[in-house]
Amino acid sequence: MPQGVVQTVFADCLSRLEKDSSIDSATVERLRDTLGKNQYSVEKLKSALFSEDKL
Amino acid sequence: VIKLQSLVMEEFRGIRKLRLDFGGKNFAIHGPNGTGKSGVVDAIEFALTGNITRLTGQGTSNISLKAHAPHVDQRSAPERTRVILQAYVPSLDKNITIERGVANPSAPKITPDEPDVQEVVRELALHPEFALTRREIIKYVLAPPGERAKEVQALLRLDEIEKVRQSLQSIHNSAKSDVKRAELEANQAQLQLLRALGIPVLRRDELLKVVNQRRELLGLEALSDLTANTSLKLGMGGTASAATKLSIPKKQALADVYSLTTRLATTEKFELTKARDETKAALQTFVQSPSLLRSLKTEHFLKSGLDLVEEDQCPFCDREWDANELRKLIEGKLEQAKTASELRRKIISSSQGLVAELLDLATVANEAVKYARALPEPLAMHAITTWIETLRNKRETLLATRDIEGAIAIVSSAMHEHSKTVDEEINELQTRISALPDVSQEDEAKEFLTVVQERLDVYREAKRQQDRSNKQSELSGKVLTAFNESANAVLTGIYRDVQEDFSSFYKYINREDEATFSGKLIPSFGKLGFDVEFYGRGFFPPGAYHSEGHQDSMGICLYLALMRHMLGEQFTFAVLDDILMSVDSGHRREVCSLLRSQFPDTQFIITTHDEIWLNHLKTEQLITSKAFVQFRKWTVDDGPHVWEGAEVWQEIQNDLDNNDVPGAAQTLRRYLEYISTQLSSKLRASMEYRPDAQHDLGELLPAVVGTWNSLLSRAKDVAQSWGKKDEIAELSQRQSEFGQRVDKTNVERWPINKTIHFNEWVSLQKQDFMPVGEAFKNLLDAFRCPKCQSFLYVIPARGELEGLRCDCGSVNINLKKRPKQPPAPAEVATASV
Repeated sequence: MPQGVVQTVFADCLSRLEKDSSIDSATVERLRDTLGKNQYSVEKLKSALFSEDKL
Repeated sequence: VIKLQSLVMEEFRGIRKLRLDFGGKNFAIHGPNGTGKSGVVDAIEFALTGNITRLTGQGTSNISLKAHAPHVDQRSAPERTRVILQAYVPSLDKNITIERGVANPSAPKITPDEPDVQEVVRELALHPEFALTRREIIKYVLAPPGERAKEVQALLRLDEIEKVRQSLQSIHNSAKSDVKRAELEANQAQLQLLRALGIPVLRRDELLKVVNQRRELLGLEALSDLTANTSLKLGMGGTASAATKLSIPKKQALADVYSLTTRLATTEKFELTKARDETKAALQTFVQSPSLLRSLKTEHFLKSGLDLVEEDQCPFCDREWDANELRKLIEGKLEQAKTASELRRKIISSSQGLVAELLDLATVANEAVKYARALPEPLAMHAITTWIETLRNKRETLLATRDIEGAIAIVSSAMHEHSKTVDEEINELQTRISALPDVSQEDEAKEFLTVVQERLDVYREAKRQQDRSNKQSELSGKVLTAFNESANAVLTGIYRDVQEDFSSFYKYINREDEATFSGKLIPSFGKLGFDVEFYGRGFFPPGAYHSEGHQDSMGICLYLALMRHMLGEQFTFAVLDDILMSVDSGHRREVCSLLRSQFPDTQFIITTHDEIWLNHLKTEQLITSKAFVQFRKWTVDDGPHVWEGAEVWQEIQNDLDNNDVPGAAQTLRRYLEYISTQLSSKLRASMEYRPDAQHDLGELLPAVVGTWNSLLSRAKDVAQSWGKKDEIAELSQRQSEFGQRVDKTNVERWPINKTIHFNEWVSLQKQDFMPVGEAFKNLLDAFRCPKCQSFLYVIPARGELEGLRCDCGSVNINLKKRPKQPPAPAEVATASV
């Protein structure tokens, strides 16, 4: 089913990011949270990636 | 999902009032063009989604659902327009009703009003692709790769993936721009620091050397290292003694002003001249192409609009819009602006050095203005202040790349171009600073350390920002790459499955000449290529060599493959609106066979203007003999007219009451043609082969009459074989009466002969024609069941005849002879002896 396909893509992407030691786990979790809430806008994703508390 | 049971339309499009009973089975709607078939498709779509794609898609700017979905005579009363769809939901084992009105399309009345039913209806509203026209299906085949990717992804509900990808791409692009901006600012801060330090290259040892020279003068300990937090003024205290304190550091000020005058007097560097030429050439491409320039101008507008689309409403005009449709429309326009966008990026890249130069000049000039204001008697610097503003405007114009003529004017002269008044003001400033009293070496050292520390702080912050930008760019790039790789891996798998199903469906339809056919879906980010094999000569786009008919077949095959993948067992119905226009008769039969064999659990509602295709649907048993409706004509006052016996006889009577004998004769002839076609199908009448299968009444009616006689004769033989004398008598009676009815029509046939010229029967009177109509009505009644009035039909549809039946079962005439009994054993023995 389509929803499954989208979720599979998200899960696979997050798994790849988790394996990248140069990306901290908090970033991956924020991204997971944002995608999980179906928030796909530039603003929401940017906020997840570049949260001020990490950089 | 659902199976459609019935549909009621009231004052909807070209339909006044119509009810169709699908019964959850495959169903066909046949009629010539313009008889209201597509109105039914629109009604199903509207009932399910609250929308009519034909009224709201591209090229419908002056058309709206509320204004144009109601019947033309009810356009001021949309509340009278409604559609009621009854359906069965297999997963819930519930019958549901969706009633939707044009006055409030987003608020359907759903019965039963239960959460699980609401959820099903909500899900259906997201799937307008259940009802597709040929035009919509063929776009999957013939669209350019970028467009196809969007259409297919939208169909597969993968547009969320594309949306995330676009957002991540946008974030990464923005981060890369930030890197360039941060680099520019860091370089600028470094130049300022170098000017204060009076050294050519920023090296730690060089910096410490000049700083420690001043610290030594002040009796301060030399700094041994320079870290991120090192203070150059460590242990210094105040900036200067009260007696000698100056509002400006004289030496530094003179150095800065000297630097400015030198910059303004020197010939432009070669790199800058080259950058100006390149930028100018790129800018002139826009001037030479007005359409490119228009695309550039709308790009920013469209991008802003795209970000603002969040609800089912246009963010600019507040008109009601489906958010996904609107996004698709804007993205399409942005795609067109791509060339302009690429050229714009080229301009930004080539003008990067020019922008840096403008920023540096403005920074140095700003320092001069600060010094002028800090003098004991401040100096007005109007010309320089105006020039700084000009430098800022020039920089913004080049960065924005929207005012093309303005940008061309800027790059047509050197960046440091300025008025004489600017030179005069700088010279005056230089004189006034020179006239300031000299300070002690100690105070000068203190001022040096203060200025350098300030500029070092700015430089450090700029470097930190640059570092942040680099990290953000790196991170966004990694996330984008990971997302693209994941999406590619998953989508490739999906497209592989779809491609296999597509190839297998197409081969099924065209197995006679394309048994080795295969198609390839080739995904790449943002695009979906589609190539098909052409008779062993290689893979080509579908439109390259295949005929239009083959492309139609490809359309339906790709659609079915996509729907099967998307919905699996939930692909329970589809409405196909005249989708096989260009497919020939033989291949249509195979399409019927494909639908029946591969999608036995999917209900297809099929519209067609082609009677042969309708017959194929029946003979291939995709639809049952009764699961269709035929629209014979359409009028704006009444909507579609369905071929129904009672309606026809009434219409003939009305014509005769109006003394319109020609009209009555025409209606009768057309009805007889229609009903003879139906009867020939029901009775399995054989006719001479015609390539176009367009038999006229002169061929149809005799064939039906002859077949009926043969069937009755056969029935009598059969009754004889079973020894049923009563049945023989009854059949003989029926045959005799039938002969009389036929004889009567033979006498009265000439007024319906279409070859007789109009002028020859205008003189006919009502009483002349009435016996004609009566004779044919009586003849047709002979084929009906006296109880349920249905026309009798032969079973089975193929193979050896078994019986002649009616719908209610009260007529059941046996057509199967009693098998010959083998002789008894004793008789055999006797015979042998």
